[in-house]
Amino acid sequence: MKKFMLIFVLLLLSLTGCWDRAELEEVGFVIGIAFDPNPDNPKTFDTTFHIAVPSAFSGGGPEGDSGEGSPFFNITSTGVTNFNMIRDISKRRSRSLNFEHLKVIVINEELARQAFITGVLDLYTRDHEMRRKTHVLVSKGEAKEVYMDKLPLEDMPAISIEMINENYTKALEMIETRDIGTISEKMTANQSYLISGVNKEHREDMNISGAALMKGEDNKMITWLNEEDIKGYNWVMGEAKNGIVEATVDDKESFIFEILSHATNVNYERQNDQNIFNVLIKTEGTFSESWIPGLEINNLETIKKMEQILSKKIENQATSLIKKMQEEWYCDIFYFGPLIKRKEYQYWKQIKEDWEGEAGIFKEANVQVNVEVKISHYMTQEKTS
Amino acid sequence: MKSPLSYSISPGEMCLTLVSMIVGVGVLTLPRALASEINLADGWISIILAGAIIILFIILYVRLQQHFPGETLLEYIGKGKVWKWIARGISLLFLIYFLCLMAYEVRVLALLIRMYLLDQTPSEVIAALMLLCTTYAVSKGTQGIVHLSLMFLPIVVFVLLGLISFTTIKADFTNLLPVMPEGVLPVLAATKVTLLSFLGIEILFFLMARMKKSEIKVFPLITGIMLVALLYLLVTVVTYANFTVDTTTQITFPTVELAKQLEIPGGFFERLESLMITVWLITIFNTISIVQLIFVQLFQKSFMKENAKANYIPMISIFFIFIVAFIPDSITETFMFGEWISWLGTSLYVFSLGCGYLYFWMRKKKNEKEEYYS
Amino acid sequence: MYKKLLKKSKMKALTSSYDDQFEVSTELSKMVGFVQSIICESSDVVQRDIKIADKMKATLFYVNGLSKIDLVDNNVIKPIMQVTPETIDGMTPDGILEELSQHVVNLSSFSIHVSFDRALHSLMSGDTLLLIDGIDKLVVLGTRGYEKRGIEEPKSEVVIRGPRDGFIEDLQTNMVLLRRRISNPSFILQTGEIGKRTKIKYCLAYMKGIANEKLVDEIRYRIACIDIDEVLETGTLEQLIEDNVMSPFPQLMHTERPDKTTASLMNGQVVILVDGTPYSLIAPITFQELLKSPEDYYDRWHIGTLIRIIRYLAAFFALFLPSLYIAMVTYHHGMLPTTLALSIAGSREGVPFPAFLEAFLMEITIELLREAGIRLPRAIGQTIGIVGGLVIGDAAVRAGFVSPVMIIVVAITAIASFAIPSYSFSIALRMLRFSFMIAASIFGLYGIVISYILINIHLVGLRSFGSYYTSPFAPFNYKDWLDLLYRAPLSLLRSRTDEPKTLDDKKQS
Repeated sequence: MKKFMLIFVLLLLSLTGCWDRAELEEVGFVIGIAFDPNPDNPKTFDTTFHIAVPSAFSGGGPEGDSGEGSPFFNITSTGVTNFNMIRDISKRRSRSLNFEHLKVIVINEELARQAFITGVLDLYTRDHEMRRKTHVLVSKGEAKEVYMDKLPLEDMPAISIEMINENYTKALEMIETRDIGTISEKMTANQSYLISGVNKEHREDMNISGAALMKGEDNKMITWLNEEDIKGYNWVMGEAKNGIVEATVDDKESFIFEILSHATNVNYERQNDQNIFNVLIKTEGTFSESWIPGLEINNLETIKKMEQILSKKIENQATSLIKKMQEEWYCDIFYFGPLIKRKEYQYWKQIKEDWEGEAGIFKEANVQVNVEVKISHYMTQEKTS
Repeated sequence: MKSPLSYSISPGEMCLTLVSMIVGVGVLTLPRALASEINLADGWISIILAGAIIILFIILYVRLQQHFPGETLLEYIGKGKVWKWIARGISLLFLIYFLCLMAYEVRVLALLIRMYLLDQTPSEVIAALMLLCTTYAVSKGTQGIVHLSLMFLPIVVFVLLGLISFTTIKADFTNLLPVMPEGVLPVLAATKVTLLSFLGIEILFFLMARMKKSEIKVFPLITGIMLVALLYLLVTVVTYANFTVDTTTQITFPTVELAKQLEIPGGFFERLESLMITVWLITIFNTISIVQLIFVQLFQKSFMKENAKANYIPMISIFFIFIVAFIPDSITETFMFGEWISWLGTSLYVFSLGCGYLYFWMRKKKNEKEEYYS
Repeated sequence: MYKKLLKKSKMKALTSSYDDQFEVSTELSKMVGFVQSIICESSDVVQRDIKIADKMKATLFYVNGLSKIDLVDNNVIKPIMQVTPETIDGMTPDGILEELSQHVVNLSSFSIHVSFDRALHSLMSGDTLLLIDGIDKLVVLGTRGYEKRGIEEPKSEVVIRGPRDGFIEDLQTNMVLLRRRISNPSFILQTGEIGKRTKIKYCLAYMKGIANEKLVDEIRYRIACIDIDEVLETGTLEQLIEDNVMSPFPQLMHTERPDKTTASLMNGQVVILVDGTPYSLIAPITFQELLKSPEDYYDRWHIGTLIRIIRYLAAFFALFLPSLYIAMVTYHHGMLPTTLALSIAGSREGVPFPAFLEAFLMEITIELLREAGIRLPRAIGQTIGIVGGLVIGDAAVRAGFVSPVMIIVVAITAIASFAIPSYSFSIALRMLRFSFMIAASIFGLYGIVISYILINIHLVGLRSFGSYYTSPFAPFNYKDWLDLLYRAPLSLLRSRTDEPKTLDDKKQS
């Protein structure tokens, strides 16, 4: 009898159910968000939601329906808090917003310079609906522009951005994607970090390159790093996964070195009250393209020479960035700090507070860069005619 | 024919039941608790330490249990004249403890579900559903509950190990360095927290009475504790390696967030934390059902006449659990409640173990005296 | 429950007895009158009057079609008629019967009764009843022989590799099929009768020395407790002796295959055959046996393992797939990959029903199709499948009634449930699937897990003749895991399964 009672109670309970029901086709999936400053009122900001229109999605829908209309729409709301604006949309469009498929957040450069990111990321890391994997970018120029036009191949610009962002292994000028999770990690650890920049040049083109330098203490953007800087950054961080290096022989003919493997080893030593960092960059790759006439690539000495040119170039890229960071911006984006923590914990505890900054210890650190390049093979052609 | 009365728990089953009892809410919050206690990556050392201490506790108890097979500790103590009242007192405390423990687990479950699965459904409904479920399970008796743990534990361990191995791909184990930069003291401080997450061993006081005398052995139980310790260790290490210690202090349920981090390449499912929560429900169910079973049996034995009908006790008990579960108002209060319960549990364990040994010692003396006189 | 049954059966034992009404007598006409009054006007019973040695009147009764006319003619009537008066001169009635049995009637079965009940039961089973004037005995002559189907391939359990013979409706043949596979004297085949009025023959088969005696006694006891007019099929018997009537899970397994039955016998299980049905019942069983097929062992172990895993997957899909679809579409949108979520949302655009109703409708449709396909003649049955599957499915999608994804889900679920070897288990899963769907529509994944837990609670409480239904999951037995998801090479499968407990555990030494 008890069993029946139980089942009965369970059934009764279930009759009152369905609190969370929201059919898949009744929600608006926000795929991207853009934040811009409001030109009229500097206290508020604009949030643009980039929402998918499933019925226009190619592939879905009954035959004949697909392909009609734009697969997305953008809607902008103004306010001072995020949640308020999300709810504002409920007043204006039929479907309530759902952030479970949020892919990209783009922040206007101007806002990024105002420590805006802490406020934004607060909601988007706190709420369970959000993923830790959402990519964060900073735009040069208006952020919502990024979502305006469909790029070829993908249905939605946000998806295009996400996929371009994941090509970072191919291009040395791109940093590894930053998602909300990693940024919030850096924020809690008070470390300086980079965020990829996105640049919309004209209607049907987009460019993800360069990076915004974010200061650890206040999460404000300080400056843009250009493509050369980022190459150096990737070398120091050991993230130059599959990029290429373009180098020239005697400033005339160019050739291409394609990276196959790359590892960077940073060694920290404390000697005579000096912090010495030994950055050893090791890379191996192929000689992929050559514009040098009459090059005998199977000659050991030629290879040696090439390798020297390359290591010189890589070293330059790395040291110039390190110098820039030490002398101009005082930001430890290479995580040298945590290295000290690992090796010399007691010392780190003393200097933790004034590691970065104008009078910081980071500025004084002695960083040496060594590069070892190895050209392991040169494709099928041995001689360039 | 096997009747449920003749059922006895085999050593292996006892071990697995113990594991599924201990692995409850603990795994979900342990990395955060450790990180915020000492703010260093040394928590994992304390897990090993706490495991060793727990093993010691278990060895002590099993030694004692071997002297009175077929009886629970409280029944054993209750045979003395004055001791009867002490046993009553302890069982009352245990009842309160178990009640609170179930309430706590149910509350955390409701919290988790609201956070990660269903954010509109009232917590009360979620909790009530789970409690009805466990009550049904209790109707299957000791054999049913033990077998349920056996059915579910492989799934849980499999999922946890899967989670751990998938997340190690992106993990940065240098986050665990430096090892013991501030000496041993913080590790000891953390052991306090870790010990609490091993709570659940007190079920041995009650369940080992259902084992045959020849099968009361320490070794399987130690294996169980080592398995738990290993799981805790791996989860903590992987969490730190993925999030760094600083971030871990900020996350309510780090293990679940770890699942969020995970991405099966080309996988059909995204957001594996929902899947993880889903599986986690099962462990919480296990813990609650084991405790509820013991609660009911204990209540019956100490406060009811022998042949009185006890069918309604599970039903009444869930009513009280339900009320207690919703006393804490917020997450923070819930976790404070949890801590309080853990301390109660630990002290009860130590106290009853002490009582057991004292009684045993007194009886031995008495027997010796009698032998001497006769 | 069984106590109650036993009490009843004692009270009402043999209610419809003719022995109370009639008594044997020496007068032939009286006896014939009795028999006639019992069988009334049954026109299939033939009465034939003859004379033994020209002076003793005798009457033969036999059932047309059930008895072999050949035997009645040549082995009964002819020899009896040829008896010369000298041979029986001056003999006592008992002497005459002895003479008949020893020298005259050349049949293997010759029995003498004084009870009308038994004699008439034999007559109705095809034997010939002989009444002789002056003798107060009923003579039953074994002349059974009736039409039966030839041994054919089992219809419901087809295998690619393995024997092609299946049980038929005749008990005798079925017993032979088993005996031919186990020519061991300790293989016991014991017949009995069930059904108060129909008295259908059944046969209890087990291996002495392997099967647990207690188990055999328990089954005997439960069958003895049955008090019902007719038991027409093993299915009826199954329901009358199973442990838990409320459970959706089958607690006995039925099979048409003698090879599967033999394997179970060698595993220490007990088999019940019932006359008139081509199925054998195997008891006790555990949950995992329902997902095994004899073919797993005939193929090499790699193939066996692969098929096993696919079958477990099929069980998973058959149980969970529609409910998972409902949970994801109505609650957990984030669990689907973005592009998939958008394309499902796009395809559901314009579907008027919530996902639950959509799934429910389609599931009901497919159940209907299945039922219709079974009832119709085979040739038309296939057409129904095509019409239903293709035409209705496609039309439903075009009409915007359901989404194409739903069709895929329903189709996979249906195919998965066909891949389960045990029909009764696959029906159990079909039923449970609906409860999972309801749970998913209310609580999403939480509901699914709760239902799963509830089913598990039910399973751990379930027994099949004292065997734990969930073995070897719980109680855990590592040896049995070699033959579970993974079918280890035969050389490693050295012992019988943990449940049922057997007298001899070793299969290979």
